[in-house]
Parts: sequence; C-alpha cells; structure tokens
Amino acid sequence: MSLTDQLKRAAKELAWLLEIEIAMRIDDLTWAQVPATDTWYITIPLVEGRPSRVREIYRVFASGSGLPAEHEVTEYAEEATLAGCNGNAGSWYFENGILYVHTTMDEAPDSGDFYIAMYFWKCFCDGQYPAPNELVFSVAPGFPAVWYDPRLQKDSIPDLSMEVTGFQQGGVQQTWGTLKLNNGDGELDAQLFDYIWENKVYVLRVGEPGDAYADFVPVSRGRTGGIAWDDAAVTLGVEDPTRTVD
Amino acid sequence: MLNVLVPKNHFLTINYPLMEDYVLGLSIPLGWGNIHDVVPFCIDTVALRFKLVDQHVDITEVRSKGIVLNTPGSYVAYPTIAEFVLEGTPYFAGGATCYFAVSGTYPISLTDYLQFRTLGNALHTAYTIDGAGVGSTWTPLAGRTLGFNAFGKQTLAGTEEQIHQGLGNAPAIQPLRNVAANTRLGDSFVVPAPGYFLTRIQVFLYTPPQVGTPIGETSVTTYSSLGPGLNAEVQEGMQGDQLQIITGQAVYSLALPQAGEDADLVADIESPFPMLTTGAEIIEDLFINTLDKDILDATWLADFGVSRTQMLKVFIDREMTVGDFIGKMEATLLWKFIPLQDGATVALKYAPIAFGGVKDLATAPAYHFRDEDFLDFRMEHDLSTVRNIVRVKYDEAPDTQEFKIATAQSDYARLFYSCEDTVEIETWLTGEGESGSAFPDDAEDLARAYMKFFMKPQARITFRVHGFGLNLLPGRDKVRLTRSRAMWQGGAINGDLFRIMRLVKSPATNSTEMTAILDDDTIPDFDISSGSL
Repeated sequence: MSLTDQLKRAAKELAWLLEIEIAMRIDDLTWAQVPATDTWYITIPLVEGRPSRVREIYRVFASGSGLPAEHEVTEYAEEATLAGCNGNAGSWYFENGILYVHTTMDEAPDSGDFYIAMYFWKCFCDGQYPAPNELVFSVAPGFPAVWYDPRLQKDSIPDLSMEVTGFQQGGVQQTWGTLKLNNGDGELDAQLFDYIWENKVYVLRVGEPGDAYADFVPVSRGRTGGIAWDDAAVTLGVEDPTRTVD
Repeated sequence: MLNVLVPKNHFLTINYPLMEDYVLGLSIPLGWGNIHDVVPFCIDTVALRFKLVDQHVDITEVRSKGIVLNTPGSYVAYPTIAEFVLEGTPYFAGGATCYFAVSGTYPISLTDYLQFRTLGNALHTAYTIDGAGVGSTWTPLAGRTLGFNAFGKQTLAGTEEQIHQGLGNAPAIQPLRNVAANTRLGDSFVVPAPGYFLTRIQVFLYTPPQVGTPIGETSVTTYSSLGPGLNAEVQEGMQGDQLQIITGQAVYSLALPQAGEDADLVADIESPFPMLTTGAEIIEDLFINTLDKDILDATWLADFGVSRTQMLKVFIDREMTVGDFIGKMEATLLWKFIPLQDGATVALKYAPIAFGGVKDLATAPAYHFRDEDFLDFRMEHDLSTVRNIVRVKYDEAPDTQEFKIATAQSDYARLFYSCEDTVEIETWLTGEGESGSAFPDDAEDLARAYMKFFMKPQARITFRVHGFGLNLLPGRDKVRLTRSRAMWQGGAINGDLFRIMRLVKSPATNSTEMTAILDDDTIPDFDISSGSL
C-alpha cells in the first residue's frame, strides 16, 4: 500500500504489523561439539523459524594477550554451510532447528568465557484474516514465512510526535509511548522471562489486508523500553532508537 | 530534623572581626576521619590565626606550597578549637644582608650525607659551620657560594617574588654532615628594596644529591645578624620538602610560614579528637554533638557499627540538610535509616556480598501470599534502572574537590540490554579498609555491589491484599509469593522470596498495596569486572 492509498483508507481497513527482535541468552545452555571441529551445536526449538543474528562478548580480561579487546561486542557472521562455520571463528549457521556456533576463541559457548546472545523476530499483528489475506510473511529474505500472532491492541498504538526545534537550537523533540499485546491466555508469561525483550529493535508497519509484505509501510522503528505485565495484557514501552548505540 | 542544615555555624564578624574578607558568611566546616589538604580560613589577619573545622581535632601537619612547616617554630596549634597561628614571617629591610644556615638532623657520617652544589661567584660567600648555636665557627669557602634561590613577599598578603637567584659556574660538591666541620652550611644574600618577608629558599644539590642514605630532616635557619656567627638571633626555622629534580638539577625547597592566598596553606587533620571514622561513629557524633538529638537506638547503632566498618572521610564545607547527609551516608554504606511509626529508628543493611559481609537484619518472611490472597497483581521490568558501568567516587580532596573513582562494569548489561549508560555514586569512602580487614578496597567492593542492582532490569511486583494491619516494614521485610500466572520462569511464581519496597495501607478498603522486588543475591561476582582510576 502506498502512502497515497493509505491516506484514503479508513482506520478499520488497515492492518498493523509489529515485529520485535527478541534476544535469548544461549551461553548458559548445554552445547555439543561437532566432532573434530571447533563448532558447537544445540537444538533451538524456535517457532519463529530461525535466528536473525548472534553476538558475543568475550568476558575474560584480555590485556596484552592478543585476545579480543575486553568488553567489545562481536557480531558473528552467518555462514551458508556448516563447513563455512567450521572454518571461521566468530560465525554461526542454522539448519533444521539446530544452531551451530563457532566462537571467536574456538572455545565452547558454555565455557564461561563468553556471553552469547541469539536474536530472532517475534511477529504480531492487530488481527488475522482468512486466506488468502492471512498475515503470513517472512521478515527478511531467506527467513521462513511466519504467522503473525494477532495480539497487538490497535488502540494502544501511541501517538508518535516529532517536532523540529529552532534551527539555532538544534535537536528534534519526539514523544513515544507504549504498545499493548493481549495476553489473557498467558502465552507470553514464560517467554517474557526466558527471552530478553527490553531495549530491542521493533518495527511497526501498516498496510491493507491482502497486501504483499513489501507494501506494508514502516510507521515507526524504535526500541522497546520497560515491560509492564498483568493478567490481561503486556505493555511494552517504546523509546527513541537513538537512546542507545547498538 | 531532616531539614536542619549542617554545618550550623558560620564565620560572622562578631566572632571573627579580623578575618579575611572572603571568609565572611562561609560555613565553618565539619569533618570526620583522617582528612588531608584542608584549606584553612584566615580568621585573624593580624595575628595570622587560621581555623580548620568546627570541632576538636588533631592537627597532624600544616604545609605551605607543599612544604611541611615546623611546629613549634613555624606555627602553634590549638587542637581543641581546630585553629593554628603562624609564627611571624622573618622580615628584612631593603639592603640588609640575610644570613642563613642549612642543617640536617642526621648524624655525622662519612658514608651518609647530602651533597650541596657550590658555584664560583665572588658576590657572596658560602660557609661551613662547625657546630650549632651562637659562637660556632663560620669558615668561608673562598670564591664559592652555595647555589640557592630565595623568595619573598613585600606584604604578607602579597604575591611571592624571587629575590635572589643562584648564579655561577664551575659547580663543585660541598657535603653536609660528613665531617664535624660541616654540620651546617651557610650563605647570605642582600635583600632588595623595599624590603621583603622571606618565604622560601631553594637550595641546589649536586648530582647525585646524596651519598648513602642520610636519615633525618633538613632545615634552614635565618639570622638577623651583622655578620656570620656574631650575635646570631634565630628568626625562624624552615623545614625541607622532598627532593625535586628540575631539568637535571636537584632542588630542595625550604619554606617559612606565610599568609595570603599565595601561601597555599593546607593542613591534615584527624577529626574529631579522638578520630571517628565509621558510619555509626559519625552518625552518632552528628546527632549527639552537632544536633543535640539523642534519638538513636543503641541496639541498631551497635549492629550498624559492627557490620559497616569501612573507614570514611566526611568533610562538609557547604550547607546540606541532615536528610541529604543521611542519604549520602546511605549510598556510601548501602544501608537505610528508617524511622518507625512509633518514633524509633532502625538501620537496614542491604545485600552487598563483599561489602561488609553482613547482609541485613531480616530473617524469615512473615507472610506467604497465594493466588487466592491477591485482589490485584501486576509486574514490571524497569529498563531505566539498567546501567553498564557504576562509578563510585571516593576520597574527595577538600582543596580541589576532586575524587578518586572506582568502577564496576557489566558485560551482561552491555550485550543483552545494549546499555552503555553510566551511573555515578558519590561517597565518603576513603578507599582504605580497616587494618587487617578482609575488604581492603571498599570503593571497588561498593561498585561491584551496586553493579548487581544495575546489570538487569529490576523486576517489580505490585499487588494488593486484604487487611491493612500487616506488620511489615518496607526495605526490611520480605514476603513469599505463589501465583499460578506471572511474568516468571515457567509462567508461574512458586514460593519465591521478595523484598517489600513500598507499602500503601488503605483503611477505607481494608487493603494493603505492596511493591516488592526479587530478593536476588545470586548474581555471580565474576559477572562483574572492576578497577580503580
């Protein structure tokens, strides 16, 4: 849907997509080694399809040792084959629900020398539609298509204001708010504990039922803030993405 | 009481009619602990009287431009009122010849002595002096002078100027105290017009400046005499500072007492007398001696003193409320000062694993709430509390107001919450542990303890239950919770322990709302790196 089309649509005809790149700590899981390699693997039962990226911090003090500088985040490279992962330190490969990781120091991910985070996209919408208008998309090329979970409360989407201050002053004033996800069934209860939702990238898109994914227009891209939970819903804070450097 | 301002007393004209102008109206500081570099206030510009704090102290050292002043000789201390009086600075009229002698307290030795530098110069003459006191023999070193610079002020409040420069070539060694004839070295210079207060003499030493290890102090004495060794009237003693090497030339400075901004006077004190250094001692002294309020519960004060033995240095030269004072002390020692509804007061100590070794007073939780008890239940992860780095500022220098800094850093916050925010906590820690303490580096320990609070979003639970008469105290008491649905591991809370942080009792609805946080002291210490700047 183009912006011109969007102007003509009544609110009830719009469909909203919310995508959040959730993190999961994986260095505290138990890993197995691919024989005769420095690659380690674990089964990740991700209903969301596949990870989006893997990152590491090498925690051991590294002064003068030639090891990675202390406190630096290393973004692992995604490999297209297991052989590629075996051959490259600081890489990952995902196949058939199994995540393979080759750490920067060729050590086991659960050696205690690392923190490792795996990221994946959680996808929500404000309501589902019968086929052929089902909201089932892949968030990026190469990602499997996933069914967008209809938990987003459309009425909770906050006003997002932007105001340019005087040019002699510099700066832009923006306001943010909160988003609500229905959670009366408790589906998210444990996930909010198991995964890390705070300060994660989110994208809010709007389109029309039946649109292709590419036709959904990004309305807001920011970061999640704190989380409030009650029996009925989960409230996610949304914040200025420039607040943190990632 | 918490709104009362301390320090209570100020420099007023009625009490200090001869003080320097800038002192009028300033707070008279309060101090506890071993405090270095306290800048004295000149309260009598005629008598050169200086005040340090508003308590009885032990004045351990007074320095001018970094050079230690002798007592007696350069100043007289009055510890009960935390004051000292500078002895008069020697004055020489323009054109007068100032004789001085350098001496050391170390014994005569052929293997341990200082090597002074003499120069070829006919304008004045160096002397070797056999013995001390009036009548000792001053033997000229023909054609040689001691290498030295002299400094003075035209007025006591004026700026220091150089009034003699050591010039000459053909440097040679002149030992001090390697033979009996060399127990002192003397020289002289003509004081320029219009006359000067002599403040400092810099003597040059040879390279190497010493042979062996002469143990003792070096000082200079000036004489208002008509000639060397004649009717010598001792003016003032001076004491040397540490040897300075300036562009290949060793220089040793010796100072005389002096007033004025240029004097850079500072003092070290132990305050009050006898010195108090722990949080419990300082709080007790503040309440009893400064505020005259004996409201402290002896039991908790004793318990607090046992569990928080860190050595503190508290110096207050600007007004602050007692509430702010208590707050900073709480931040320094990780405890809470909580007044109860019956008027008593308790001290609560938080969970610093390596900070004091004692966790808190609370024991078993008083209540276990279950599903059927909750009228309302909600949870929150507060992202705004997450920090990547904790910087604990400690050991503030009173003269420059600069701190030392201990840091603790969490890679967990950096990777999982993309947080690079820093929190700074200003404390009164000195960084020194009690002698023989298991926790010798207090500031780093405190930074690590704080990091455990900041490395993850704080999980808060707010719930409401029946009854408003629950005998619970925020900060101290814990409750056990069980709930079949929660933002928790496995989606349920099964008897976990939470500490109450907030309590709202509503008599109208016969209910109590509580906010609690997980009483989580399980974060491993190795998750945090730390160091000091």
